[in-house]
Formats: sequence, structure tokens, C-alpha cells
Amino acid sequence: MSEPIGSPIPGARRRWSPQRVLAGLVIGVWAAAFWWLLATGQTQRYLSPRTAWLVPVGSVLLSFAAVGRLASARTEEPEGLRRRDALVFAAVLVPVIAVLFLPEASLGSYAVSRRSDFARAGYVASADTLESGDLTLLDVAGAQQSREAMRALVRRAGARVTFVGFVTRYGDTPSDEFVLTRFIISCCVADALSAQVRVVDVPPGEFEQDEWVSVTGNLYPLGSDVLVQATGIEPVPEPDQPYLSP
Amino acid sequence: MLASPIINPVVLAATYVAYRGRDDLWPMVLGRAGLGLIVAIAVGWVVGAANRDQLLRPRPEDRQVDVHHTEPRWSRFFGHLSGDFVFMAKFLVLGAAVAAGVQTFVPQSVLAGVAGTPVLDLVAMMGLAFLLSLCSESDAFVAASFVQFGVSAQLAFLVFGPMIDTKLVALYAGTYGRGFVRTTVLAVFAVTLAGTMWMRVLFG
Repeated sequence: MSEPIGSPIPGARRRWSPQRVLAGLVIGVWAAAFWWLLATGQTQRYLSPRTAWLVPVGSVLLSFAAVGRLASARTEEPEGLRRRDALVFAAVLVPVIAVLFLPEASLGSYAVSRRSDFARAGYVASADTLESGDLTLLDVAGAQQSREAMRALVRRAGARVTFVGFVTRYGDTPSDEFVLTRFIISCCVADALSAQVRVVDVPPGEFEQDEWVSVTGNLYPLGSDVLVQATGIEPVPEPDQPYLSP
Repeated sequence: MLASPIINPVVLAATYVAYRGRDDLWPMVLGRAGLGLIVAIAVGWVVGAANRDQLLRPRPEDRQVDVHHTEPRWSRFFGHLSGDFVFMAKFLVLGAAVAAGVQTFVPQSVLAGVAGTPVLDLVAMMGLAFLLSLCSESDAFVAASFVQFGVSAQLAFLVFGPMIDTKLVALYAGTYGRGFVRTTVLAVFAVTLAGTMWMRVLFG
């Protein structure tokens, strides 16, 4: 009678399999990176609130997989570790190393320059939401995508607004102006789009590229452009959630 | 495999939200669903004619699992789990690295010159969708921001991208035979191009 599947061979010696141990460690490193993102709040630099659930779920599943693989790493027929396998394991660790060891940074003016000037926020605001209440950068970006919404925004000309974003200057930006930028993400930073308003009446030379500021002033839509005549600008720390989400 | 990233309620709802308030709302939502379905059927028809044995690439990991059939079931479970993780991760890392490189170093303004140029704009938007490798739940917001491109070019972006991008091609190449990948990419490209050209005739 043949041995049933799952039965160990009697008397066979179990030894550690280098391939299984390494696979368990690689998955364990990924799990640790996910736990680190969760513990430090860094998730918000990569994912929108809508997709942030992936990190806690991934942390648990990856930890489970790592422990399971290490627990089953002793076998009667240990697999050797080929050079190709080692290279694959190293490649799989590259994103983790990048996340853990590269300086913490959110998207800034360089990322704005990589997105073309016609690829602005693709979010459409409804005219109803623009008619009343506080205006947000998301509303302004959304209004620029629809004639009806833009008309609603024009009716709010002169409205008092406070926007938080980072300073962006182009080659032709006058010294008493800058563009206030904030990225909008739907799923993750890969789909980031910029929402921008021109800020005028800026004290020349006071604010640097990529500096986070809070701008208070009056909003004026001009054609397809939107500007804020600043009455107060103050530096602020980068928000915990650097991106906006619809 | 090809239709599911497009023809599902979440993606179609996201497309609706991205184009809400615009004149081209329904051509985009229905066009995406309809053309996505047509492309998937066409590719299935083309690929279905191939020999099944030639579709999948053999994986060394599968042979190893067979060798260890004497192990307990829970051990084989974790063997499959970690094998699939490492197998897929290497292709995802490769594809994501290409997409990240393009997003970081290539300005999207290089496409501005072909906006409105017949056929070229469709090909350019398909190329951009391939390189950016966006999730199909969020790509409609990005497509909607390309206001200098017409409905058909934006539709090409929304239909081609979820089926063929850097991550997916890396995964297809690791899973399927070379002929299958070549046929799939060419068929998706050709049918999307033809479909979006028809959309241009109908909607401009």
C-alpha cells in the first residue's frame, strides 16, 4: 500500500531549506515595512484614505505568510539556493529598502513639472457644492473642469478662502506671486494630479519653492484661471495628510 | 482577465464621477464598458484558436511543489503562498520600477504636440496608459484631466491601460508563452485603435 499524501517518510532527517528560509525572511521584511508604515503614519505619503486599509490587512497577511514559511522551512529534501533565486529575492526587497531608507518626502514642485500643464486635476465639482459653504482647493480644481461649475465659482468671486499648499514658482512667475499647489490622489501617488491657484500680493522673496504655507485671501476666477489676492500668508508644517482626496 | 479591470461597478462608477458634469459623460462611461467588452471578446476569440498547451509557461516552482508531496498539507499551503508572492512580486517590482521611472523623469508635456492629430493621439494616449500603469479605479480622473485630447483619445487611455501596462506585461510574460503575450498585446492594441477611431467618427 502506498504512503498517504502528507505523511513524512519514516526515519528521514529534516534539515533547513535555505530557499524557504530566505523566502520567509523576504516576506517578513515586507511585513515589517507594512507594520512600520502603519506605526509611523507614513501610509498617507503613498495611499489615499480610501485605499489605506491595504496596509493593516497586508501587515497581518504578510506576517502570517512569513511565520508559516519559516515554520515549514525544515524539510527532508531541502532546496538549494541558486544565484538566480538570490537575485530575485534581492529585487523583491528593493521597494522596501527605498521606502525605509530614502528620505521622507511627499510630491513637490518637481513632480508638478513632470505633469504637463494640461494635466491638471481631473475632478469635476458640481455647481451645487460651489454655490455655498467654504471653498476648498478641491472645489476650485473641480470647477475648472466644467463650464457650469466655473460659472458657479464666478458667482463666488471675492469669497474669503484659506488654502494650504506648497509654493511653486515657474520661470515667468512675477516676484510678488506664486502658485499654490496641492496634489490630489484617488488611489495612490501614482495617480496624483495637481490643484493650483495663483496667489498675488505676495511679499517678494519671502517664501521658497516647496515651502508649505497657509494662504488667506479673496478668490477671483479669471477666465480659466483662478487667483487668490492674499491678505495673509504664513508658513505651516507639512500636513499629516499632504494630499487631498475626492 | 482582460475585461474585469474595466467591466465592474466600481470602475464604471469612478468613470462616472470623473466625467460627471461634462457633455461627454455617457460616451465615456458606456464607451468604456462597451469597448472594453468588445476588446476582451475579440482577444478571447483570437487567443482561443491557439493550442492550450502552449499558453502557459512552465514554472520551476510548480515542479518543486510536486516533489514535496510527502509534506503536510499546511506546509504545502505556505509553499504555494510564498512561491506565488515571490513569483508575482518580481514582475510587479519590475513593472512598477519602469512606471515610476517614466513618471519621475519623463514630462507628460511631450504628448502635447500630438493632441488633436488623428490616429497619433490615440496611439500616444495608449502609450501613456501603458507607461503610467495606473489602477483602473483612478485612471478616469487622470484621463479626464487631458482636456486637450478628445473623447476618443481619452477612451483609448481608459480601455488600453487596464489591459496592457508595464506591470501586466511583465506578469503576462512570466506566466504565459511569448506567442500568447505578443498576440494579446497586438490584438488589444488593434481592436482598441479601431474602436476608438469609430468613436471619433461618432462623437468627434
